[in-house]
Amino acid sequence: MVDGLASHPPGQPLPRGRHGRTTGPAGLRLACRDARVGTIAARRGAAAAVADRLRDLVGVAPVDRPVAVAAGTTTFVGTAPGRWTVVSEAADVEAQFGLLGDQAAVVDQTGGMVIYEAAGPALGDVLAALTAVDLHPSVFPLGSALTTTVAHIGVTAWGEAADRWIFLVGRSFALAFERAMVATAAAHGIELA
Amino acid sequence: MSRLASGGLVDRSRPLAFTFDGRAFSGFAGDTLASALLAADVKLVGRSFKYHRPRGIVGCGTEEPNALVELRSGARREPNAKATCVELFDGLDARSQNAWPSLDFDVMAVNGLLSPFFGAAFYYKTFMWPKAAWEKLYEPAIRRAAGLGRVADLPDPDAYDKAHAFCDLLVIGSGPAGLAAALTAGRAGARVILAEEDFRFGGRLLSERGAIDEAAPVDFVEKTIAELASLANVRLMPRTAIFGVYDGGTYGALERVGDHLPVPGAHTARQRLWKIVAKRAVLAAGAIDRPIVFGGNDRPGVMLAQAVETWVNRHAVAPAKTMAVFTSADAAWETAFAAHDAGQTIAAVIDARSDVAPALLAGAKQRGLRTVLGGEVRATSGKTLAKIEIFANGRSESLAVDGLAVSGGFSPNVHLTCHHGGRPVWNETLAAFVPGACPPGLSVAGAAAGTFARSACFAEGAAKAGAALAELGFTAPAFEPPRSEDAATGIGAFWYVEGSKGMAFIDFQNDVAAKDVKLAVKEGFASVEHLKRYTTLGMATDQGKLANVPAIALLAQASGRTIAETGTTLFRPPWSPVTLGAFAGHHRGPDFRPSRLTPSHAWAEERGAVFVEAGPWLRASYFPKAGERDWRETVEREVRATRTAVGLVDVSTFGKIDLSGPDVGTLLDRVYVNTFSTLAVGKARYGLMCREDGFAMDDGTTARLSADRWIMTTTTANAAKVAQHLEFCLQVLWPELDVQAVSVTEQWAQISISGPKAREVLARVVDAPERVTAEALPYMGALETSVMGGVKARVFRLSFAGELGYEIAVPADRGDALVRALMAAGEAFGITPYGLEALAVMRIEKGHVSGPELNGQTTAGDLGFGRMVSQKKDSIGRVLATREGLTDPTRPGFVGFRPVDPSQRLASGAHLVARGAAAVTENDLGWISSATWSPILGHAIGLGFLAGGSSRIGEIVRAWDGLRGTDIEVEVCAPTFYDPEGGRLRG
Repeated sequence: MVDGLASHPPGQPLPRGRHGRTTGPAGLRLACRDARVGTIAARRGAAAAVADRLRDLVGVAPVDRPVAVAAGTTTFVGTAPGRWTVVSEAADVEAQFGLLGDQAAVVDQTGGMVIYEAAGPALGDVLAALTAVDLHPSVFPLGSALTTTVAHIGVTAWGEAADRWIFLVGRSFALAFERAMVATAAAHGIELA
Repeated sequence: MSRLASGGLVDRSRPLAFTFDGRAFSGFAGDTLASALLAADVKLVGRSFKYHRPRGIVGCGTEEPNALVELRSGARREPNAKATCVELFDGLDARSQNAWPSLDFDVMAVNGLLSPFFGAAFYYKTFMWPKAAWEKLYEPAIRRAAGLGRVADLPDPDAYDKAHAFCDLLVIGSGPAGLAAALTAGRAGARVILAEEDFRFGGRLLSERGAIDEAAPVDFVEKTIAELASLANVRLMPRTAIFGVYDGGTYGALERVGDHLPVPGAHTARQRLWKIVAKRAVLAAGAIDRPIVFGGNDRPGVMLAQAVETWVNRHAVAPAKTMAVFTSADAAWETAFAAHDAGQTIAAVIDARSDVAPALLAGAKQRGLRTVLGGEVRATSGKTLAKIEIFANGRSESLAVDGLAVSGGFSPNVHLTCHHGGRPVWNETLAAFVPGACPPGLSVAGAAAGTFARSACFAEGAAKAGAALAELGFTAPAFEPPRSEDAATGIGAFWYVEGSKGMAFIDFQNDVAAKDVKLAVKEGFASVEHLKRYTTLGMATDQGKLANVPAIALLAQASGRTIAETGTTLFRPPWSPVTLGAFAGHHRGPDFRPSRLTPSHAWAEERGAVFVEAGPWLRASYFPKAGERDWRETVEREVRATRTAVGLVDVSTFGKIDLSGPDVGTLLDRVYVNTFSTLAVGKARYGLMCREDGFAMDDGTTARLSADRWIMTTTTANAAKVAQHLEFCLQVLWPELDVQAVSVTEQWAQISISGPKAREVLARVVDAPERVTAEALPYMGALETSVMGGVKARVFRLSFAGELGYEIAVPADRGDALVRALMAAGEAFGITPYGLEALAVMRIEKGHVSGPELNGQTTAGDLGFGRMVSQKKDSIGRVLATREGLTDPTRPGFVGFRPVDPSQRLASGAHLVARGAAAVTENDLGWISSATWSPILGHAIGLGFLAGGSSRIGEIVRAWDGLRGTDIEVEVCAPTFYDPEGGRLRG
């Protein structure tokens, strides 16, 4: 196969629509989601208290491990001890979680993060190609999250279903991430929404 | 045509057309290129490296030293493919290599006539004088004469993939031991990967006749593979070579996804590089037949017995019409029997041993085969093999044969066991090196461990898998080995026919002969490592798979040692060659590494910006306008516009770290050389960060947004490094500090506007212009506010360019809008976008340090920041910066330079020497780190480091640039060329 992206300049957006294999249904669909993103970092020794407070606020306590938990339209993803990435449909993350007061730093990252949803039957193969993490259900059950690099791009990712994952990607890397996904999923056919 | 009428694992209903050296041939599905060539009676397939001797197919797998061919053409031309590993496909186009004008008549074969002179280390000894001729004459000539094959000179049109896999047990090889291991683990429920280099599973079982469970071995293979395929916990990976063992149970594997197709499928990779992480692995890679060293043993038609068995049984090919067998191992007798039973004429079985098992003799007698015990082959003749001279019982005899199957026993494939430094151990009984210390988690079973009997291979494969599983907590069900009709496995050590006539080769590919080993020993190269380098033995693409053991045996003999005393070289990855493209995968061309785009990228593209790679970032370098002659003219316009009106540049690439918590001030005091804890809310301060060893690490400004919230900026290059450094400080050095550091580099687009009109532009964009007046927001002020009708923003009154300037930060998804809003607001003032080039010019004019000055070799003192280092507090690097060598007053210090003759240009990298002094290392006074043409001053300026530093301001020195051939007198001056009082910044 000829590398389909070899002649596409790295600074120019990829056309939306189908890439790679053109026959049959696309093995993967990559779409952006609109939501707020933030970082909640508990003050020293306050992780448990912050988790309790968040449960009161949202209805679910974040887990102090690389795990994604969700309640309503809010998802907490553990990224480091006492630190979570929050994805929420609330209007303003800093305002929503400002109620944490002195217990945590709350940092809005909405502008800097692009939320990708990747879904389809080829997701498993694409993930195996891109991530150096064992994603077998016995090791990485649904709800586990990872903060790692894919194709040299830092991401935080987790599965919402076996064939549907969310990737948080820095905005400056968004196009590079799309290129990596298109190149990797080309054999299966990929739809850029 | 030597295709057998029946039998074999080829599909006679699927003929495949191919060409070799332009001639059309046909083979069958299931053939390799080698088997198809032999079936077509092609015996001469290549020329050797040094002597260009005619060579034929010797082996049947990756050990093949001779049958190296070029595949395909144009951009897909691939040299040095082993014909024995090339799966035949319809339309395959292969060519011989290393021969001119033709394979049949190769002019360079004249080298063979000179072979008495071409001994070990011939080149080293011969091409010594005159010295200058080596680079200019000898080496180019030798390289032209040598070389194997031609690489394609066009970009590789194919794509390559990478993938990761994880398992409890990786089984390498699918012969009897591998199948037993995989089955044991698969049935136990463990996650299993079975990797097989061949396109068909089964290993030697595909080439053997002895029944398993009263049926053909291939039936057992198919049944076993079917069961494995039915298990969800087992992944079968054919066409996949495990080429290396790395740390933490990581195995490198190459899957040849599309090499068996004329062109890889649409949107499918040609090859895939796997990283397999296995908790345990069983190496069941089998063993390779070993050649015997005798006169003329390289003649086309001389083959390994194991390979002959494969041609006959697996590929249904008679590789010769009349064949002899020369061996010191039982297994080759079975080869003779198989060939005879398939209808070939066996002229004689010549065994170097004088005593062999009665069962073998009975087998020969039953078939009416002549046997010669205690015999040897001393010579061969014919362009391709026509005759052999045998010697036994004191007399010589000539036999007319066109094929000779040779076996000196087996060499276990121990290669992967060496990849962590394990040294194979000599086993006298087996006359072979067997695995020594293995990489953690790897065990060896079957022939690779020196276990040659098939039923023992089954048992050992199951046992090794069972033991590995037990360590992982699995209970493996008992493995019931199949009933196996084992072949005899006796071996007698025999390496070399002393009475050889003619060249007796050890390493076929590199043309190393027995005489070379003897010569090397005579000349003092008796260590096995020296022998390898002196003779190039084992250094060809087959990596000595056939040559090593006979060579070591000869070395031992010649140096009066045992083989165990002589030892062996180690094998390094890869086990078999790996295409470079597979290592690169998708990361080539524009995707060599991911490109980071600034928030203003699309806008800058629209403006026709020329981009430059700054680390992973693509940054605007300059914005040319129609009619401008070159980038210098563009940059000069951009600088003048900024200095006289207002300019705009995207500085979003700076690292940004949000710091909050009660102890941020303390942390900053410790990581910066200067004090931050006293900084007022709403203020920013420039800081310098040092490494523990006292050298400067990074600089930037940090602003205090509220009592316990700060925002740090770092240089673009060190964004990740500084974040990592802060985490190290907080997690390791001072875990008691309550500080939360969160990278927000991605979150904030940061646009800098500078110039006399900057405030007026800013006032048109912020929602509360009264907050950015000169009084409300003085120099080094920081403000949280909003712009463009409610967009959250931060405004910092700073300028790297040295003008009245502001950096305006908004969430990155609003960065594009901010740039457009600023451009619209600034239109009336002639706002001019500029890029990195103009930024660099202006920072040099201002004497600001940047990457070339913060190069890891300069201290705060060197940079002229000595007085900035607070002595009232401790900070990282403070103590070690006081070391004698770092406080030496003659140490090069930061100064500026201007050419004495204003028409001359300066270049960074120039060395500084005194007037009249020779430009030699002893007279080196320092260097110019940054230089540019200053459009404002109208002459070149430079920054750099000069011994004695600022104490030499006013002196004249020379900037000597050996690379560019310039030698310019420069005046030492203060590093701030433009607005040294800073009035423009504070205006």
